[in-house]
Amino acid sequence: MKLRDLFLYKHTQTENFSIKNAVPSEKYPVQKNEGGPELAGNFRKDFKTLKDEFAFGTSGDIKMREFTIRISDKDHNAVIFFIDGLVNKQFVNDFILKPLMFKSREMNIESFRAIGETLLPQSEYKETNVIGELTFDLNFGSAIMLVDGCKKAYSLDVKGWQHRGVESPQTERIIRGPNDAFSEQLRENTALIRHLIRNKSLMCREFKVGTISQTPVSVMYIGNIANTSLVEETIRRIESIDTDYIFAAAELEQYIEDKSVTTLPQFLSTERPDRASRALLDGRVVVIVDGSPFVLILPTTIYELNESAEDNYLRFPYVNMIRAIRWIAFILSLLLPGLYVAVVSFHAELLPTGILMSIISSREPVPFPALIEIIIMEISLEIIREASIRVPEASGSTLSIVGALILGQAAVSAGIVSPILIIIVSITAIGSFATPNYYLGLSARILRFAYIFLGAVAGFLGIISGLFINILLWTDTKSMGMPMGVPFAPVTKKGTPYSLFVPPIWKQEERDDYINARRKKRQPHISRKWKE
Amino acid sequence: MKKLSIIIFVFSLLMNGCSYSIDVENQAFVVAIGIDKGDTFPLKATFIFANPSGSEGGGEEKSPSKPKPDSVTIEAPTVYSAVRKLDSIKSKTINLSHIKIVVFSEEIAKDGVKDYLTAFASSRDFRPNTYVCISKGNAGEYLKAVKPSQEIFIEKYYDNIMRKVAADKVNEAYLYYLYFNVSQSFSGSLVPLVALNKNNTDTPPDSTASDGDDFDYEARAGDILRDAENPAEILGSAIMKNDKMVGTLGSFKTDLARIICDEYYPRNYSINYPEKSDFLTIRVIQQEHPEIKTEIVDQNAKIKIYIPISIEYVDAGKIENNITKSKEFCDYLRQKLNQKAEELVYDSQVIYDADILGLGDSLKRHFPDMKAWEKWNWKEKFSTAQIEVSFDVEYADFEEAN
Amino acid sequence: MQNKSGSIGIAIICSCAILSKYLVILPEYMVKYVGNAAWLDILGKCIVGTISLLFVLWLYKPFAPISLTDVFSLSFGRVGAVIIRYVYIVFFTLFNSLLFRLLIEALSTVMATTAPDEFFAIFILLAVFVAAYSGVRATTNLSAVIFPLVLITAFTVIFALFPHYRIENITPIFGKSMPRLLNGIFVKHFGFTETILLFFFAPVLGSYKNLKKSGLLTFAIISIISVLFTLAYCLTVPYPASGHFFLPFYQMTRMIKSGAFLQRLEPIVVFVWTGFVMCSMSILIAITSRLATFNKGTVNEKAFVPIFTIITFFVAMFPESESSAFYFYEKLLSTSTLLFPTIPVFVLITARIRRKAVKT
Repeated sequence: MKLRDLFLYKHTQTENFSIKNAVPSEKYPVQKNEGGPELAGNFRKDFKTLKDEFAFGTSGDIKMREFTIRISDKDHNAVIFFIDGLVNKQFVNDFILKPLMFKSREMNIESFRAIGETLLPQSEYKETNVIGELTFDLNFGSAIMLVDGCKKAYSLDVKGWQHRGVESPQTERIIRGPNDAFSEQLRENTALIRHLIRNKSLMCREFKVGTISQTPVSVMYIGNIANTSLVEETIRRIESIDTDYIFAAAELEQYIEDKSVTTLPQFLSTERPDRASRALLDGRVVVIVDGSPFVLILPTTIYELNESAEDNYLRFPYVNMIRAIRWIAFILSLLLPGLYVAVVSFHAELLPTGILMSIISSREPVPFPALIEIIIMEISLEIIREASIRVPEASGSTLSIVGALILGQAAVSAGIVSPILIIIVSITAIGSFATPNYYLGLSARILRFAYIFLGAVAGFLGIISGLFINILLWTDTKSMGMPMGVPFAPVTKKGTPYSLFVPPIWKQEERDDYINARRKKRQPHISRKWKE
Repeated sequence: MKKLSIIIFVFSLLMNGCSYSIDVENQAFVVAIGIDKGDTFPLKATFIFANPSGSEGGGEEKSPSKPKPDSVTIEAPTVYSAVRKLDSIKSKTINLSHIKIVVFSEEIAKDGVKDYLTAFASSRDFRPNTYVCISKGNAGEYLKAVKPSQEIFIEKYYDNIMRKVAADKVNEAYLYYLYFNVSQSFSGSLVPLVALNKNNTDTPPDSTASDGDDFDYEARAGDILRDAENPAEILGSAIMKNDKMVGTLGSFKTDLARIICDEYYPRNYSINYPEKSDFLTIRVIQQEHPEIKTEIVDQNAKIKIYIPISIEYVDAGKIENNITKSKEFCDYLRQKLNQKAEELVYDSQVIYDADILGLGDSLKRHFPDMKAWEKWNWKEKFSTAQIEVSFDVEYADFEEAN
Repeated sequence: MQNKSGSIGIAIICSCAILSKYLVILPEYMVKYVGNAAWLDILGKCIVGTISLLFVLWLYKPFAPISLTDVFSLSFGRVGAVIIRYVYIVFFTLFNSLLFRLLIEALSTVMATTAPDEFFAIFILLAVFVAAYSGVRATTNLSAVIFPLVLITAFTVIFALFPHYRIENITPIFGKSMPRLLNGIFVKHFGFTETILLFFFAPVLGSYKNLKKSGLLTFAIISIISVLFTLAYCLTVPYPASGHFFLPFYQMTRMIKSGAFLQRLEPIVVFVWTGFVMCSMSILIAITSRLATFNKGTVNEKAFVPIFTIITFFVAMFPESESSAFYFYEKLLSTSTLLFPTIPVFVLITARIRRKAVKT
């Protein structure tokens, strides 16, 4: 036996199953819903073709119902195919079978045209003989009907799958303002936006992404506000995705973002329709993916990532104060542990003597240097944070008690960490929770470790070098071609719109100039005509 | 991805930087230095170390025990060589960046402190706001004998006591301002005087007080009649001509000099008013900045300083509500202050020949450049300059007297 | 968007490049020469610098918006242009390296560690390399973020030192002597060499109007900060002590003591300014790389960045001590009039004459 055999996987006697080499997929060709083979026009043949196409008999949820329709005093055979679970069976019974089986006999219809014109009441109804289209529609909740004597098949909208209703947002709750959120249904989500922007210029372009999953994706924008090149670029990027499947907006985001190797998210994701609508009215583009309650807003800037939906509903003194607090919280969550290590290891002259003496007295019994101490605490905190996501509700309270005990009292009493470090780590954790954007909070969690190492290695010099590179890479990142540091880096024409300091709402006259929207002004100079 | 991995790789090579750091708990912080003349070597330096609170680093709340400050006295040719010797005594790394106070003994001060000040000002360790004083007697003894009763930490004591003297203004009690003054070619400074009180209640003090009147009370540190556990005192000032100590100034004259130099904060004084054979307590408030008018007449300087002050009665007996008597008292006070100011000017010009009031700075504006100023030679002209200080005393009250 | 609004970004990066000297050598360098009239000296220098900028801008008007490097070829042909470019490359590299060395010396004084100078050098140089490699635009964006921090720290220092100002410290008004002051204003230099960057960035700025706006904004920023700072220094520290302080910016920040908490701020302030100096170093390395390329195109440019970074490191480590580095730097500063405005004026006048000759 050779040494390398130790590292090779070997199928043992006790295992009966191993993954064999895959057979190249010829039997299940990739679906295309435009063009492709068509129905023959013969009922028997087409019936068999569709049975094979839809894999009836193999898939247990593909259902079939044969029946007859009376046309010109003659009974014609008909069959419908549908997927159990995707259709509303009541609709199938009441709006397909009943009218066709009973009303056709009562009304004495003379031609096949009357089926669509008088018997079927569906708002969406299509006649086609392209097999690909029929397959797509079947998978999307339609019922496919074949009638003997009719060259084309019918695709009838009877969608009725189970889904969550409009609920409150999970991650973006606000105190004063609307609290409805997107759900997993594309149509419901587009409807929520349409409900807020009742304007014919609101466009909703639809695409299918994923060669097998055929996931519907909508790109919404306001035609007379959004920059045409931005819309075209978005569509170009979405259409050029070549993958088998996409299930969520988060995956689509990773396909169309400018730079993947950065901790900074390049698009804003929200589950609030009001935030998405506001973005549309500012000239941005919203991308909605079926199956995901989060929509993407693009482009975005670093400052917008730290904004909350509530900012628009607060009066201007409150919003400015809260924004400042959020920025302080973000900066603390990013830099505080690194600064602590730097000060304690290199810059003892920075601290006033009183504070220095209490730090020394608390650190004296601790056997670890500051770097190790803080790494222990930070890693414990991250582990607890990860565990708390997955813990069942029943043991949730136990975990919080254990976490508090481990990280708090016990560690300090055992002399593993100093009390002041508990405060540092708690402030850092709270600061990261105060960041509204989840990805930005995650990036602070990752980069914090880099700053801790830099602070331990070279004190403030390390931190400033790290900040230098960090800010460079972040301001160099682009969101749909727009630098994310605008309006400060680069300085744009109008200077600083409402990125840092927000004026009262009646003064917010301009749209963000870096979007290059087609309409520059939101409101005239005098928007409160009641006031002279 | 490549760029990022190169950055990470190179930065990880710099991890050896961890070895260059020294954690705070491995450092010993000096909070005070006393400099005396040595027996074997030129100087004897006393270092006082701050000790952190005596409580163990547990999470339980314990009332912090009063730490005992640690002191070491070392003889060496210079202060920094004393620090180097200290390294072999103390286990922790010595850190001088938290020094609060530097005390020079009288002997060292009389020989000149310029070298020390230049060394301290050029170093990164000594902060500009470090207090400087001169001790009557041994500086090391003074520092070791300090027993703060109101503070837990010794450095707080120095901060609190010196803040009263320095009053947060531009003042030679601070290291850098003393250094600035001392680097001029001709200057005078008033440096706070500290000492240990050796009196007890049985032994009469030096006759530096006339009749208890604060205006005639020219006590220095160590002369106060009192009974307290902490023998350390700060009162009066040492007069420095350039960098050498040439004399001392009593407590009232020091305050007067501070008023004239616009470095003053309100204080209560008791004055013996012969008219009433009574002691009155007044509060002296400097009303406006002193007006200094300077002229160069026939190559000689003529300086007029006008200082308006106002007083409030704290305990003024019968004259408080009587406007005529108030006016008389104010006149009396004005005369007294003017007389004291004259004495102060005489001391500075004739006895000590040190520009302790900083009047040279006010004259510089008459000259276009330093060349002309140096040619005029303030050093020679100082003793013949005509300096007039006049006070104007007003009683600060809004009510009409009966 | 970029062409219209690049003027403020370019103004900031040029101010970065010129003001970076403040952390390490100024204003002590000026005080040693003219005494406590250093603020008048710098005011005079800024006025003279602005006038020379306006003159160069006027000469440049017919050539905007092409880059000055192209004007070199118009004046002296390809060979002449290469020679002038290499003159600038050599001088920029020397300026950069010596400033880097002085920065390292300053930082090793500020930080109480046993680390050798090379340790600090590598840290700073790595960050500078990443910025220079990312290009001029990325560095400009970065400096636009760091610059407000620098302004905040500078003005905090200036205002927090207010109780320490004494008007007597700036008397006599003309410092050491009047002839010295005039010599200082007109002959000895602050080093406005980096103003030339504006003309190298002319294609980005797009039009003469933007170039002028950028130039005047640069000088406004430099004048306000340098004059206010020098004035604050002269008001706080009397002569002759002001000529003997190491790292004046650091010393002034150390003097702040507003209460028990607002004191001991100097590491933060010094390191924010170090970020500023790093921006200046990055832009100079990026520009020297650009100047070193013979053909237009960004691919070749990046290849020179590591070369110049390494050259900067070795030249910086060359002087044996801080005083010899300071001495070399002073000598270099005395040649800064040659780089701006002498060479550009000469080049532009020649180009104008040749253009007229071609036209006729």
